[in-house]
Amino acid sequence: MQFAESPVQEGAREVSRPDTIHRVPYPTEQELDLGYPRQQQQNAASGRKRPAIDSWMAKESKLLRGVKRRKIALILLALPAFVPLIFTLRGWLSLNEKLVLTNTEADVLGTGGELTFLLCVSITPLITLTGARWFAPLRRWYGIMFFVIGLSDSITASITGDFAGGPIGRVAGHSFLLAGLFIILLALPVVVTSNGRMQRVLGRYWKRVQGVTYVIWAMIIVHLGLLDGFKPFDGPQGDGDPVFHQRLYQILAISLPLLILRLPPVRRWVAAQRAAGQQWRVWAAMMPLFALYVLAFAFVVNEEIFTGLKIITMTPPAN
Amino acid sequence: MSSDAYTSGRPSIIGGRVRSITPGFAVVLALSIAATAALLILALVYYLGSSSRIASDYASIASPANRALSVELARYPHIRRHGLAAAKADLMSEVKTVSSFDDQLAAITFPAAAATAADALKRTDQNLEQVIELQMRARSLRSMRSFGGRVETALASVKIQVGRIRRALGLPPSGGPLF
Repeated sequence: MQFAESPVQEGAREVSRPDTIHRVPYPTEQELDLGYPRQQQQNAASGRKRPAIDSWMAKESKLLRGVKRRKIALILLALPAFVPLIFTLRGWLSLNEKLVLTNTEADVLGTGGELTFLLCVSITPLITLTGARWFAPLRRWYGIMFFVIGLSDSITASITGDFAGGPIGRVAGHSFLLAGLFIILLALPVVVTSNGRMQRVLGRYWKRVQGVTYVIWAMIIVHLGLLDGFKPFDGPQGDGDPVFHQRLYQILAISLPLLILRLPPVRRWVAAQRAAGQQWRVWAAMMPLFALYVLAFAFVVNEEIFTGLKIITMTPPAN
Repeated sequence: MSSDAYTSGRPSIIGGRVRSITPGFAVVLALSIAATAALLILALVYYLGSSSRIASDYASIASPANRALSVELARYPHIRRHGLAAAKADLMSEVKTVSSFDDQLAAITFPAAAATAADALKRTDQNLEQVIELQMRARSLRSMRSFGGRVETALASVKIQVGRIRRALGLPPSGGPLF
């Protein structure tokens, strides 16, 4: 799993996609846009077809002439990454008026970072499930935005946080803060190397560097576990359903289907079902896991909007 | 995930037919059953948590109303010195706060015991609003002050009903001026 695409190796790449089990020549960006000529030939030879949605997305938009549908869809799907930053903007511009950043910033940017990371790691399983690849660039985009939001969180917390010990204490003074700091430090090399040039420079080591994303994932779970613990909590401002708001449970519920869809036997099974035209079986079998994923994701989004509105309306909770 | 791992193991398609039970399917099936169990537990938690959710709903409307009333009641004696118009404006905001609380209270579906108290609370709130509106119509500050006793009585009635509803919902006594 990585923020960016795998490296090109001697004109071919290791493809870990369910619809391309064997080594195939790496389709260039141009090929992706022009309809995968090389991949189409291979697919024709192997009896595989390019997903209809990818072909549809590669066509020119009727609304905006000269612009591909894929590009429009990707821009629209990339926009939500800015939401946490927009929420926090008023707090930054007001220079922490009413202690709005001190009391709420970590919730907004922390949850925003968590959301962007989870979206980043959701792309590969989505490709596995659907076979479509038109949205693959979102993986890199959300990975980069995860780092940007996380870094903003760390810098803001080091200035406006109310933990003792100065700027260092505010970002590393507690075990959960230290875990958060590690996440940002670990994400730095992953983000810096998530481009074509670094792929060529690092060669076979590139994938190992990108593999640090799994460590980041584990650290996020540790961070949220240390932050919230196992016992559901609630306060007078809660909605009476504390277990649904427990961040550790949320990320575990979201991570479960994402990790399962990365297991080689599961990927093989999904690919086989799709090849046999029985993809409905995959959806049916995965349905409870999707439900858990969507339920947990809804509560994370709810947290982001709820706390984000507190900053944008300058009504921070009394801490 | 490397393609080596991906391509290793037994093929899922044998002789053009998809094997019905593969390790991948077994993993998905087992975890889907576990996820179904988790969803059922969550549904049960949600159902059992309904009384605390209603209590939380009440607290979430009472807290802002109490905050607003604290400010309005605290400034009223000072505002009164600035003249009749200022005092009337302050009373108007008190009526709006109580009225807004009533509107939100009506949106909550209470369990039987609390529902009776909630209905009684709405009635006493309306009585309080009427007394304050009468007070607002006073033509002098002196006349306005003469309503003090009636307002206190109406407030006491509201507080009694608030106590009942809070007890029925398992909430602690109100820490605010009214709700």
